[in-house]
Amino acid sequence: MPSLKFCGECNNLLYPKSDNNSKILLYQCRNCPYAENAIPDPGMAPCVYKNDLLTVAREQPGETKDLDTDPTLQRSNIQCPNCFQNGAVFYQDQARRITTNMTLFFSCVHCKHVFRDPSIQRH
Amino acid sequence: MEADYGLATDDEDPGKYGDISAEDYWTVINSYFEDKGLARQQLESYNEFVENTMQEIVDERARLVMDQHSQFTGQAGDETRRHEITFGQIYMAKATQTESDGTVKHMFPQEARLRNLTYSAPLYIDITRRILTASGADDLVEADWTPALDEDGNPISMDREKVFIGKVPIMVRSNVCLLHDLPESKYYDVGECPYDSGGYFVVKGSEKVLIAQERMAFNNVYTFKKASTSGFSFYSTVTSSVEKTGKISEMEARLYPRASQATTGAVVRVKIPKISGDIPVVIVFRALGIVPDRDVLNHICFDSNDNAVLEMLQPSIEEAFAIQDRDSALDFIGRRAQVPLGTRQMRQRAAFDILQMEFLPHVSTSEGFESKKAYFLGFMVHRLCQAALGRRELDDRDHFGNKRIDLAGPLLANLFRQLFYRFTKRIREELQKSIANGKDFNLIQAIRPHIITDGFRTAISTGNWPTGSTSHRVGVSQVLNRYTYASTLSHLRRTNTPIDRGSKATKPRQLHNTHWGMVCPAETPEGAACGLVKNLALMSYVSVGSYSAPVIDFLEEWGVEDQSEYVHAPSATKVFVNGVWMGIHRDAPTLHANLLQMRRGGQLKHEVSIVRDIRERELRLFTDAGRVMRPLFIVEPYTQMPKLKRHHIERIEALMDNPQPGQEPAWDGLLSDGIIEYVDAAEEETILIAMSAEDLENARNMTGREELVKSRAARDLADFDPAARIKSTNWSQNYTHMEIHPSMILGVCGSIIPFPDHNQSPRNTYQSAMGKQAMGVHLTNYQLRMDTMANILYYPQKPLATTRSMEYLKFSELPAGQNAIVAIMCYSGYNQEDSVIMNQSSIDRGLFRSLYYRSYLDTEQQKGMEKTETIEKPDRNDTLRMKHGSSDRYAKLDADGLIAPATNVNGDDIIIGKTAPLPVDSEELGQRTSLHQKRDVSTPLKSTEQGVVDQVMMTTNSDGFKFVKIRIRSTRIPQIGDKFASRHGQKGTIGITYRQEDMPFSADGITPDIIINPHAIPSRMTIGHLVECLLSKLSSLTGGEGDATPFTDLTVEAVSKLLRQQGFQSRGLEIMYHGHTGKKLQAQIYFGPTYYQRLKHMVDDKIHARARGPLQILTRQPVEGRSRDGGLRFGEMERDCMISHGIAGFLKERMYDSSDGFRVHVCDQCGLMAIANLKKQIFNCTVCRNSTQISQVYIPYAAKLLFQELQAMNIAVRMYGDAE
Repeated sequence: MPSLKFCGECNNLLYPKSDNNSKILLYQCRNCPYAENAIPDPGMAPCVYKNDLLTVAREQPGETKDLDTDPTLQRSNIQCPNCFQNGAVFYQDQARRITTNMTLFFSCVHCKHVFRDPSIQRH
Repeated sequence: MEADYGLATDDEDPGKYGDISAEDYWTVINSYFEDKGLARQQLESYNEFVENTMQEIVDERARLVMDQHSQFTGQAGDETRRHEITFGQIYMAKATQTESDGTVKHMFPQEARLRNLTYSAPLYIDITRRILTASGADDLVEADWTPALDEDGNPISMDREKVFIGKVPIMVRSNVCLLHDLPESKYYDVGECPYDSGGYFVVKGSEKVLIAQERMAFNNVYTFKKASTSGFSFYSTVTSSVEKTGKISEMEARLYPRASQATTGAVVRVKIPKISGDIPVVIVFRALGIVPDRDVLNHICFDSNDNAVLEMLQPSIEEAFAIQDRDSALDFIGRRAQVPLGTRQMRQRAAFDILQMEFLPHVSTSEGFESKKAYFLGFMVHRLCQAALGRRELDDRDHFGNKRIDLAGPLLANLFRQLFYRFTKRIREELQKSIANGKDFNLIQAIRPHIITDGFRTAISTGNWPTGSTSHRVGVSQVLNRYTYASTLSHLRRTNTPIDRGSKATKPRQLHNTHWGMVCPAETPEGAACGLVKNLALMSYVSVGSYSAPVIDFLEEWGVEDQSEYVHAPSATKVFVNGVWMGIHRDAPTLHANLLQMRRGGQLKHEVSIVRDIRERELRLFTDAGRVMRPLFIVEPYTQMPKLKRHHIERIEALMDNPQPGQEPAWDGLLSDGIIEYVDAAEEETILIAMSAEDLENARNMTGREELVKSRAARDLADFDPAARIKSTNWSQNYTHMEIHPSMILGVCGSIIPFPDHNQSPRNTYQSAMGKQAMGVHLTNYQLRMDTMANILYYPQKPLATTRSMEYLKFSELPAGQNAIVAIMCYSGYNQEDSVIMNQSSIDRGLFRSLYYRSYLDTEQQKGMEKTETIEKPDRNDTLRMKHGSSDRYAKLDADGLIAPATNVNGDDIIIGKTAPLPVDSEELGQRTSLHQKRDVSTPLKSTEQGVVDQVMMTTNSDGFKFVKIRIRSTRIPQIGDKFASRHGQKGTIGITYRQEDMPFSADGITPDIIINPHAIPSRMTIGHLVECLLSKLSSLTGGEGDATPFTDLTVEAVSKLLRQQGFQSRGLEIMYHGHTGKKLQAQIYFGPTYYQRLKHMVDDKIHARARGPLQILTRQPVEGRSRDGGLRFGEMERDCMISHGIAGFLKERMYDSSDGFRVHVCDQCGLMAIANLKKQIFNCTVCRNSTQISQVYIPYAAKLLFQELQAMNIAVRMYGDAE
C-alpha cells in the first residue's frame, strides 16, 4: 500500500476524510472536489496512517547494485545460500544510528543475492 | 651513487616483481622532479592565470556600452548615440622597468631584488571604440544602429588600438619570466642561482610568496547535523560559485523537527540568498513552477515505494497548503525580500529574478533554469531526508576531498577581476562625465594604468588580499624565507586554513586519513597555527582547473539523460559535473570505464577526477582548480600487475640521460601512456591502493589472507629476524592502483629526516620546524644578493645518512649541516638538560664556523617640493642633531657619505651618512644657529653587532633617487650558548667546550666533536637518531652514502652485521678513555658520526644586560628590548615572589628606584601637586595661596602621570600625609 495517494484530477495529496452520510472512509483532495473510497476492496483494512518505527530502525542492506565491482569492499569466501557458489563482498550496515548493530551484509558476486551473516542468530 | 653494502634486500632481485626492481620506482620519481621541481604548483597555477584566466576575466566585461539620448535641441549632432568600448585580446610583454627619465629596458629578477623594484611586465589590451547612431524605431532595442559620422562623413570611431593598461607582477621562472627562455648555464650571467626554484614574486625588492589558501569546495552539497539550540536539526548546504564570474552565493535546506503546532511533524525550509527568513520548501518548488504535490514529491524522491521519505515530506506539503499556484508562491517569496517592494507584480518579478540569478546560480542562470534548479533542490532535500533517516552518513567537513586550495593563480585572478572592474568603471565614469558635459571623450586619458599596477603591487607587498568589496584577508603574501634552501622550498609549498586561530575546535587541526600522500604528516607549526598551516607532500599536485564543457559534451555523447527520465529508471546513476547535476545514466559501470579510459588515454585532462560512488549511485566528475592530487601507478585489475613495464623504465632512463629538445618529458609520457594517473582525495575513496609491489605479488600468487599469514609464519620460523620490519598482511585481489613510494607522503622538511619511521612522531614535527633554522648555503648566488640577513656555513657537508628524497631537495648540493662525531655519554656534567659539550679543537679547525651577513639600505627621499635628502658625510658645522659617542662615529665614512668595503665596523659606527634639509623657518627648539642648514639622518650599525663592510652598492630606485645598500659580514665561531640540533628534534646549546686533550678518546684515538647526554634519548624515543649514527658510522667506513629513506627494508641487524665486518662493535659501542686521567671509562660509549645542524640562534645575538640606559619619554620607565638597550622586565610574577618572600626594600628598589622614581611637591591643604622652584627654594600652591605648608612626596613617575591624566578628566587625586 503506497502511503501517499494523489488526486486523479490535480495530482495533489489526498487526505483522509469520513463521509458521515454514507459512513465510509474517503480520500479527499483539498484543492478540488475529487474524492475516492479509501477502501476500494472490501477486504482491505481501513488503514490511513501507520507509524512504523521498526522498518526505519531495522538494518537494511541499502543499495546493492554493482556492489561486486567496488574494489574497496572486503571479500569473503562464504557460500551463497542462493546459488551455493563461493565468493561474496561484505560490508557493515550503512545506517549511522546509535542503535546500529555491527551486522554484516553479504552480496554474492555470482548471483548478486544479498544475505546476512549466517553465523549470527537472529531473533 | 649508491654504494653497495650488501644491504640490498631481496626486493632488488630482478624479475621477482615482474622485472621491475625497487630502484626502478625511483627512476619514475626522478622523472617527476626532473620536469618541474618542487615549486611546480606555484608555477603551473600562475601560468594558467597568465595564459588563460586573465583573458577570460577581460572577456567577462569586454563590452562597455553607454547610450546618449537625443536632447531634441535641433542642433547638429543632436541624435541618439551609443558609445561602445570593446576590450579584446590582451598582450603581456616581457618584464621591463621604466626608469625615472622615461627609458624602458628589460629587467631580470636580480635587478629588481637589488634595486627594490617590482619584477613586473606591462599589460596591453586591444580597445575598439565605436559611436553608433540610432535610426528607425525610437525604442533603443529595436533601433538600427549605424556608425556615427563626423562633418566630413567619416565614421567617428577608433580602430582597434593596443593600449597599456597596467603592470602585472611576474612569478620568477614562470613561462612569462625572462629566465624561462634562458638556459640554466646562463643563469650566473644574470645573477641568478640555477638551484632557485622560482615560484615567487619580487615586489619592491622583496621576494613574496603567495601562501595557498584552503577552503571548502564550492558547488557540492554537504549535509550536516546542527547543534540542538538553533531550531533545526539537519541541514544541506551548498555554496554556489559560477565557473567564470567568481560570484558566490550560499543556500541551505533545513529540517525543522518541531516547526509549529500547525504542522504534524518535521518540515523542510529553504534559506535563499537576499530573502530574510526561511521559505517552506514546497513553496520554493511552486515558485519554480512545480505546482502539484505529486510533481514536487517526484523531484525529491524518485522511488515511489520509499514510504519513509514520502511520509517525512508530508508535513512540508501541508505547510505549503495555503500557496497553491506559482504566482502566489513568487509573491510569498517576494514579500520576504530584504528590500520591501510595492506591488504584487513587482514582488513576483523580484522573487523570480532572485530565483534566477541568486538561487543556485551554478546550476543555471539562463532561460529555462527552473527545471534544473528544481531537480537540484530536490536532490538537496533528498540528501537531507536520507541523513535524517540515518541512511546516509553525514558529510565530513575535514575530508580532504571536500577541500580546495587557492594557489597564486586563483588568488591573482580574484584580484585582477576586481582591479579590472575598477579600471572599466573608471572609464565608464569618464565617459559619462564627458557625455554629460558635452565634451569630447578622450579614451587614452580615461585609461588609468595605475589602478591595475598599484592594485597588484599593494596587495602582494602588504599581504592584504581583498575578498569582496570591503573585507580583506591578511597574510596571504609573505616574505620568502631564505634561511636555508629547504626552508625556501617548504615555504613555497605551504598552505593556510583561514579559520580563527583562537577557536577551540580541534577537528580542523587534526591529521585526517585523506591527508595521506597529499600533505606532510610531520611538518606543521606548533602552537596557535598547529594543523591549520600545512605543507604539501613531495609528490602532490594541485589541479589548475579546466572547463567542464568538454566533459559535459562527452557525457552527452555517452548517453546521459535528463533528470526527468529518472522516474522511469530509478536504479540509474546520477551524474554530477563540478557539483552540478547533469542528468542520469543507466549504465554507470560502462560509463565509468569509458571515462577512465579516456582520461588515461589523454582525451580528458589528466587532472579531471572521476568518482563513482556505487553505494549512493552517483558519478561525480570534477574539473575545478585547487584539488590536491597525487600520482599512483595504475594496476591492471585482472592480472594484478602494474602497467609499468621494463621498457617504460628504459625509455625514461634514455630520455633523462640525453634529453631531446622539444621532446615530451618522460613523466608526461607515463601519464599519457596510462601507466600513472593523478588521483584526488575524493577519487581515492573509490580505489584500492597496494602499498608495495609485494602486495600485488601476494594478490597474484596466493588465494587468501589465511595462506598469506601461514606463509609468513613459515618464513619467520625458518629465519627469524626480530628487527625486521613487520610486513602487513593486507590481502586483496582487487587492487586498482599502487603507491609510487610510501616515503612520498612526507613534505620538504620531513624528507630531510633520516629514518623518520623510527622516531616518535612529534620529534619529526620538531625537526621539521628546526630544519628551517639550520645554517647552510641558501643559494649559490648569495654573494650577489643583498639579503637583510643571511647565514652561510663555512664548510657545509652532505650527510652520511641520506634519504632518497633529498636528491630532489638538492640537499647534497646545498647542505645545511656537518657530520659531527658524536658520543652519547655523561662527561663532566656540562651537557645536562639539553646542552652539549663541543670539542674546542674541532671548532678551531672550522667546525660549524659560519658567516653572518646583514644589509642596511638607505635612499635619498624627497622632502617637500624641491628639497631632497643628501647622502654625504655630515659636517658638525652645518648639521644639527649629529650623533655623538666616545669617538668620532662618522670617522669611517668616505667623502661620499658611504663606508668603504673591507672597513672594520663596530657597534654604533655610522655606515651611511645622510642629511635632510631643515625647513627654512624652523628653529629646532632653539638649537639652530644661522650656520645650520640640515639635520643628520645617518644610519648607524646595529649597536650589538660588528664586522667588516662586505659590499657597497649604489644605484637609483624607480623614482630616480640615489639608493644605497651596504652589506656587513662577520664570522661566527661556535661558542658557549650557541644552538645545535641533530635531525631528530634533539636540540641543545653548547654547555662547555673542551680542547681535544680534555675530550674522551677511543681505542683508535678518535675524540668526539660533540658529546650529548644519554638522558636525551629514552623519554623522547628518537630511535632514528641512534640508527642514523650507526648507519653513518658504517658509511664513513665504507665510503658511501647510507640510505636512511623511511619505509625500506633496511634493518639495524643488517647494519650491525656489516659494522662487525669492519672490525667494530656491532651496535656502535666503543671503549673510551677519560681525557683527563687516561683511565678507561666504565661504560662503553655509543660513538659515531651524526649529522648536526647549526641553528640560527646564537648567544651573541641574545646577550643583553643593562645598568642604566634610555627611558621611555611618556612614563620615564626603561625602554623595552635588546635592540634599544632596554631594561629587563621585573614582571608581576617576579613581583609576587618578592611580596611572598617579604623583601619590601628590594621590591621598592626594583619597582621604584631602578625604574621611574620621581619626586613631587604637594600642598598639604588641597593635596594636589604644587609649584616648586628648587633653585630658589620657593614652593607655592596657587589655588590655596599656600606657600608654607608643602610636602615633598616620592611617587613613581607613572603615578604622577596617572594623577595628571585623571585631573584632565575632572577627577582630583589628593595626596595627604598621615601627619594630621
